[in-house]
Amino acid sequence: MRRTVLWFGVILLANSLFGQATIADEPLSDRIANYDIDVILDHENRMIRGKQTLTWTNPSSDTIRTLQFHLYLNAFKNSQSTFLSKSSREFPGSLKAEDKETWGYSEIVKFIDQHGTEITSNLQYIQPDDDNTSDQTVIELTLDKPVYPKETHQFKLEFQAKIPKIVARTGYGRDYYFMVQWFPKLGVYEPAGMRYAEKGQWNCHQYHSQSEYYADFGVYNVRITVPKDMIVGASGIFESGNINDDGTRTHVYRAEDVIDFAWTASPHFQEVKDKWEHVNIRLLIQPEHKEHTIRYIKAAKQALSYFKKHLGVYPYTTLTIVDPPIYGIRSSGMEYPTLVTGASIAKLPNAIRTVEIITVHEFAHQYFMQMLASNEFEEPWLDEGFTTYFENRIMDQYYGDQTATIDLLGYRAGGMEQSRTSYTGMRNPQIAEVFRPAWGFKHGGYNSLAYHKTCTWIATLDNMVGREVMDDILITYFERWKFKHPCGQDFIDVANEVVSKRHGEKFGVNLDWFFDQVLYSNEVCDYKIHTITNNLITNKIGFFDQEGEKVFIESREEVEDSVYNSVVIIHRLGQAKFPVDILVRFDDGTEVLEHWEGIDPTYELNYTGSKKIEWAHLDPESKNLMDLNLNNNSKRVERDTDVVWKYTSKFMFWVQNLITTLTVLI
Amino acid sequence: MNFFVGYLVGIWYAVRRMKMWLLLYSITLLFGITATLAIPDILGAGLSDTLSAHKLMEGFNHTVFDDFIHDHGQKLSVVTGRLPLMAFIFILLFVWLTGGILKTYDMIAEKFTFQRFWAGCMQYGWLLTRVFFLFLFIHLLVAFLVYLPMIRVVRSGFEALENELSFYRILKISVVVHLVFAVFIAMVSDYVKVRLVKEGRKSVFKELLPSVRFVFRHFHRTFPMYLMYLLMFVLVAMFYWWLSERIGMQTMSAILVVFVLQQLYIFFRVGTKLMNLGSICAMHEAILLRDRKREQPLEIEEINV
Ligand SMILES: [Zn+2]
Repeated sequence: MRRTVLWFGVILLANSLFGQATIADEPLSDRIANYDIDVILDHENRMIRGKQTLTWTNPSSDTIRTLQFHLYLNAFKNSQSTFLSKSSREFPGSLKAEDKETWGYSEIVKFIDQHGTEITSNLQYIQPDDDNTSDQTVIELTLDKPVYPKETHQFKLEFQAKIPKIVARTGYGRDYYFMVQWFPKLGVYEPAGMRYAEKGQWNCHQYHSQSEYYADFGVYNVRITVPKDMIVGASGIFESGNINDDGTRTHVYRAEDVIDFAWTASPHFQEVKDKWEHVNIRLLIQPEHKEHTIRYIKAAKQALSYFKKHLGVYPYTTLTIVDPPIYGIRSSGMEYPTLVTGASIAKLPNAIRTVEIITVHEFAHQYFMQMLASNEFEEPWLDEGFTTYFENRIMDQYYGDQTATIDLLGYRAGGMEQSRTSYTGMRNPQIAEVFRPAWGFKHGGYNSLAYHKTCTWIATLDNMVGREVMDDILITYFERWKFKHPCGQDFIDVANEVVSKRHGEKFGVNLDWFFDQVLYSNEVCDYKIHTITNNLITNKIGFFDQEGEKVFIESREEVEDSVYNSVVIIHRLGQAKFPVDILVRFDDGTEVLEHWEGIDPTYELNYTGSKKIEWAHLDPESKNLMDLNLNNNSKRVERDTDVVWKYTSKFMFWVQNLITTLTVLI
Repeated sequence: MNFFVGYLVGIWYAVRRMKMWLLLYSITLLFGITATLAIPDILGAGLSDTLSAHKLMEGFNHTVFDDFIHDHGQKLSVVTGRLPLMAFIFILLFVWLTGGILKTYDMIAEKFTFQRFWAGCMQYGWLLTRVFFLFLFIHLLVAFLVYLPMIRVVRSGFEALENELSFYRILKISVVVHLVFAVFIAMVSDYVKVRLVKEGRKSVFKELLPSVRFVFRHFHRTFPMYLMYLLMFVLVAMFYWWLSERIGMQTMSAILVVFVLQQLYIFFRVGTKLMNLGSICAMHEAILLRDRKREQPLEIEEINV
């Protein structure tokens, strides 16, 4: 009976949500920037033409006289854009000099203000991040009449864009279109006190090759007109799709409380529909990737339910997963509100879990990017790091902590451990500190640091404070900052607050010492058990009478009541300082757990007694994942050579196999 | 002699010359040991005194392995960096040894002596080295021509293909075509070597065409004989893999057992090469004998006419 009522309730809820973009009756966000867009795809000429109404509310007490817009597609306008001129190594040959169809641009052709005045001529390209005057990815509009505090204005503009071939994230590949950052998108006006703003200011960065985005929440009503044989997917919910007289079809979508709007079109998509609680899952998959359908859907459902349990319910009613074709592979693995791209290739073995990892990762961005709409330009770690951390938690839970990434022919790796080694295995883990803007990783390390080092220190924090407290921190952070724009300090404040509430001063007055090291500095951590010695100390040296004989006893000889001085010496090899536990085991089977603050360069544990040390283990539960080398965290007095012979014999066998195989050439 | 008899005779040749088999295996072992000499020290420095090592005993462990490589990878890459040179030296040595093998098989009826074996090595060493380099060139040329369409597709960024399935199709076809050519080239190369040794010829190029003709004319024998060896190799390799996986390497005694198995497997692999050469010698001789028998009466008839 209870079950029937429950099912009835679920059906009722599902029906009542029909046509709703979110599960909430009230707006979830402040809806500062709202867009109404009509866009037509000119497939033949690889163009889009659009009419856009922007309804924007001044969130501050400032009088605003300019607006700033992103024109992201101008990154692909010419080789002088900041995006391309700084990333020639990353995208070699993608844009072909001889093929103008591979290049793209975006322009505002008409701009009418609230009062009906055309002010197109007031538009001017600006470069807030560098002095590259050729970069046209940000445009500023000087208003004839300002927007007063808390006032809402409506602007009407017309734009057109030439779609580039997919170089990074957006564009076309044959008849596959992945349209993101395709319309003139308003920057974020940050009032004084918001994030790091000391005074009211526009935050509208140029498009850099590694940077992602930052935008205000709003409602998007978008009408997309494409050739009628094209299957369309988009952010938000589908409202209608009518065929026009000219053989095109207009697809109408609405997305609420989101920071962006993405859409895709291709005649080859195969549509798979599924449902998880209130969420309509729609997978747009390439026919040649059909074999991966279950993998995509299963991973999406696992992520949905994990987030519901550990952070908060996904409030949107749709989730669209786009599976790009091989000729659109550069659009794969990206996140947009309620729409993500996966990544797969035909015949990819199940044991290589790329499909699942990407799906889970991009879905996690719905929380850390979309609902917690941090500034991805300035603090990429705040979305990528947390996303990677959750990706690994989910993957490790469902696919095994040593097999979540790959489990093929004896080679295996888990999610969290793979992330850790992506950081610890860097050639130079000190190349930069995590706290940098996306374009600040000039000489590398963006991926390893923003994604993986961040994930590793969040996991270390998790191990330190315990999973329950960690979830408390994350839920508090999410509840307090969802549908807003948190910055790094906001997370630190929450962490300090929750940890001091739950643990008192167990980890110090606050956790600033932790964040200073892992986030704001490039210091590395490596503790090592340097030596263990068991020195025999005895007073019995010299000649002793035993049963009428004179017996000479050397100092090194062991007697029944021998006494040992056992010493463990620990070295701190890195500059970072973390408190550590040390487990010491003696030959009589007893163990003792010691604690060291980890401050001095070296430390010594001293024992005198009849028992000898067998081994010592620093951080025996491997809580501190920031330690660059976990192997030197333990040391045994007696060497164990089994593993040496195992891999020596394997290596020799491998060499012999190699050379005998080569004899086929003879 | 049909292909199956040829196959069995090859095995018999190798077994009869067990000393030669043992010698060749010992050389493989020596190369293996030389290449591996530095490994115990490198592994010992990073793994023998850490408690993490037991995780590698249970199976592969990414964290332990990666931390080890991060610390000691440089030393390991010095060892692996030497391998290509060692492999090249081994191949050249084996080319010379092939002279001894063929000489021994040519005189299979007589008692085996190392003296004769070494004499064969010296006598045919240079000749067989020329054969090796010629066929290496042919192998590389054929591989390049076969995989050229695939290379062009990859370089064009998959523009020419409908999707990756089309690429897989090209890859599959290329691999099959390459395998067919490679087997054929290997067979011809073997018969060239046998002809040079057994018939005392000196010109590598002059033996090319007759060998191709020989392989083609007796394809129903030569090719299935190759396949038999291929099949035997696959079966033994699978059996080795299955058995070693079952035993695992989690204790010192299991490591020892698997080590013995590994060496038996290498012994078998060396043997396969010897058996194959034995089969080819036997097959060549049998066919030659038969042809001569057929030719002789014909000649008499012709004289009579
Ligand atoms: Zn990401």
